[in-house]
Amino acid sequence: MTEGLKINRRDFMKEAAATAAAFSLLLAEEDNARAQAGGESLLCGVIGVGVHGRELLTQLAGMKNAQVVAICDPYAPSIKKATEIAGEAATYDDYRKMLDQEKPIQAVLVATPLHLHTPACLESLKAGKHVFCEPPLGLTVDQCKELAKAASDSGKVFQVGHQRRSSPLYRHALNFIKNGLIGDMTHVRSQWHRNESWRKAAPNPEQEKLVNWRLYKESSGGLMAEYGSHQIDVVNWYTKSVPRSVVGIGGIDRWKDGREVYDNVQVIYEYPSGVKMVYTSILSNTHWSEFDEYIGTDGAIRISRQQKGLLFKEPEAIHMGWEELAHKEQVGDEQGIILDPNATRLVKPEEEAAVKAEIARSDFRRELEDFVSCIKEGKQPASTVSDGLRSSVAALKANEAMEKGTRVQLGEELFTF
Amino acid sequence: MSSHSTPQLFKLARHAMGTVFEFALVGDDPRYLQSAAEEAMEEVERLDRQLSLFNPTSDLSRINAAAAYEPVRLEPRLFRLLQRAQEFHRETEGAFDIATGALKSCWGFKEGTGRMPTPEELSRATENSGFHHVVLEERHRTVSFTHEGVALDLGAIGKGYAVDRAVDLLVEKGVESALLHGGGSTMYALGIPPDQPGWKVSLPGGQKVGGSRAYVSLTDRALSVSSDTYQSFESEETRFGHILDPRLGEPARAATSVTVLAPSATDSDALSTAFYVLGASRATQYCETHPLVAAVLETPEGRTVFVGQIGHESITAHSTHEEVEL
Repeated sequence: MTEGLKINRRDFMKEAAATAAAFSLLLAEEDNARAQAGGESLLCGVIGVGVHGRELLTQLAGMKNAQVVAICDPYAPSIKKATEIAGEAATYDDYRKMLDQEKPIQAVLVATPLHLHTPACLESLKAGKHVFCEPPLGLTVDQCKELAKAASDSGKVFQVGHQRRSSPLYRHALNFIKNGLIGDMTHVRSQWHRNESWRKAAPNPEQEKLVNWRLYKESSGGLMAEYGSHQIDVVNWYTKSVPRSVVGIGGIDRWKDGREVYDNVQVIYEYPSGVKMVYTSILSNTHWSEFDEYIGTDGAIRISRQQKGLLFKEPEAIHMGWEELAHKEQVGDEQGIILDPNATRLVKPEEEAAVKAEIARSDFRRELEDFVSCIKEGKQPASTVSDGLRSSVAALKANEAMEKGTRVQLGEELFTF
Repeated sequence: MSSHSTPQLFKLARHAMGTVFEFALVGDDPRYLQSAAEEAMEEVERLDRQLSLFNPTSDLSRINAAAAYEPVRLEPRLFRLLQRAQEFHRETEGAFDIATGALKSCWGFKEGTGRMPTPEELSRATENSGFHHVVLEERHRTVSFTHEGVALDLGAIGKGYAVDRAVDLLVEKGVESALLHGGGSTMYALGIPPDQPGWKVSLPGGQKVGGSRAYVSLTDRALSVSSDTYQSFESEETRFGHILDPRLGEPARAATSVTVLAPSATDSDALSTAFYVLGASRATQYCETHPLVAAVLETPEGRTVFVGQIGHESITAHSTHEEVEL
């Protein structure tokens, strides 16, 4: 590991400790107020109930300690579908009205089109709400920085929806990397490949941009923003650093239907430690679909579809005794060791039931449970607004690199606020 | 929707729920049809993640892991699906039962082609099977099991439910003509294809009329088939199919193939399994009180029995030039 990485790590630790301390003080006061109110369930409002917003609603509807009291979306068919999940919630077509009229709401979850992330979050913070926001934080670097500062100053819980940070598998893989199982990490390969148009069926031309916001630059950061930001965040997290430059080529190669964002992006990030991250996202093929591969001098870890982890050791790498006992899977000519976060977990018989139930939770469910418990217990979320700023800037700058056709330097000032 | 003069056919296929889902949509604007089909398929993929037994963090896996120890709160749509499964269980006097995960595992049908269980395994699995071990509590929308070892399996209703949800979405998008199927065993015909009175579907049981394969014409109707063709094993010269009789704890033998027509794919999917277990006589009784349901059963003796208001007259000799191929 290089000196650059160590310096970054110290900065991270200092920042984390200072934020956590300030945070606990502010939250203690609020917790007392809520305890007096006697509320058990966290009262939530969800802004944006398209496909992803409804996924959040689905998870919240299965939780005992959260209650959705209001939902908001200007597109009536989305509201109609969302009421199947959150039938008792009040409905709004404007988030400002919702915030104005639903005073008891304690937390707001934002899953709007990207261009509305920043304003919806800022208004929610201003109204004194805790906020959960899908990444990126905004459509521009300035928006992201403005929101990061506001969230940081608010003293509220602000969690960014990087669900991999709540995943036992990704945490397990990080432990393997920290313990040197893949040697020095030199390279990351991540992809999100689908074979679809990414276009929704708009009922009329007037609603085209409302429904197909992902296809237009005024409201979307394209594949890098929607998917890349999540996968870049893991590399930021694992390396405790941010990329210092990015190059890329993108194109509208398959879906020439008037859209403005690329359907084919090929990007390389360079990290201070020397790690290169190669990122690819396309809308023309599903082969290998989605994976993240962390590659080092002694081995590689591959996580597929956020569900299956495999460790591939180099022939000359030192082999551990436990490897003989671990479950394995043949992939082509290579044998991978299956990464099971629960394989070595010691469980007392009386705790077995609780552990079984705990394991069988999706990463979406985990991140929302984390959000609720952070608010109730005054803790820092696994994915903070600073983490959100880092992944957002990296994703947005890749678009700039592709559009300009040049290598874009990512100076430290981009990630500070 | 922009208008073109000739109706266009758009087809989309995806792997989901351990099989292939295929949609064929007819309309004026192929781009609009593609978007609508992709949205409908996205819903099927969501349900696959939610209902799969092979996804260790699906809602179904979470229920099976936790419901014996504490009530598990469900989102409303899933809770309603379990309530519907409970209604089928009541209406079919236990022939349809989603709480047979233990039985399915012990007969080796959860992941494989089956095996003969030991008497001890069978006895234990029988004790852990049956919807009477499942408690649905509406006020808090929870499901719980009476004891450890009970497991839900939505294999006999999940694909039908997914097809219905996809149809709902297409209808909401204004699509008026489409044929959707999940794995060929459950399909729904929405509206009619151009210049045809209905969607012509070959009877999956391979029944013949006048020496030719028979087809049925479907409009706003679902069709499902249950048979042991693809998942069975033989032991001591006896064939054991994967459809289990939950009341006996062993493979059902009242039919060899069942095709059901019903207003929804959830209904046809569940009832094709139930009728396979119940046989022709009980299926007839069911259809007498449910006039929108009809069925064709192949008996173990090799007879073809038409049940309900399907009637021989609507089963017609196949004519290939009118076939809609998916």
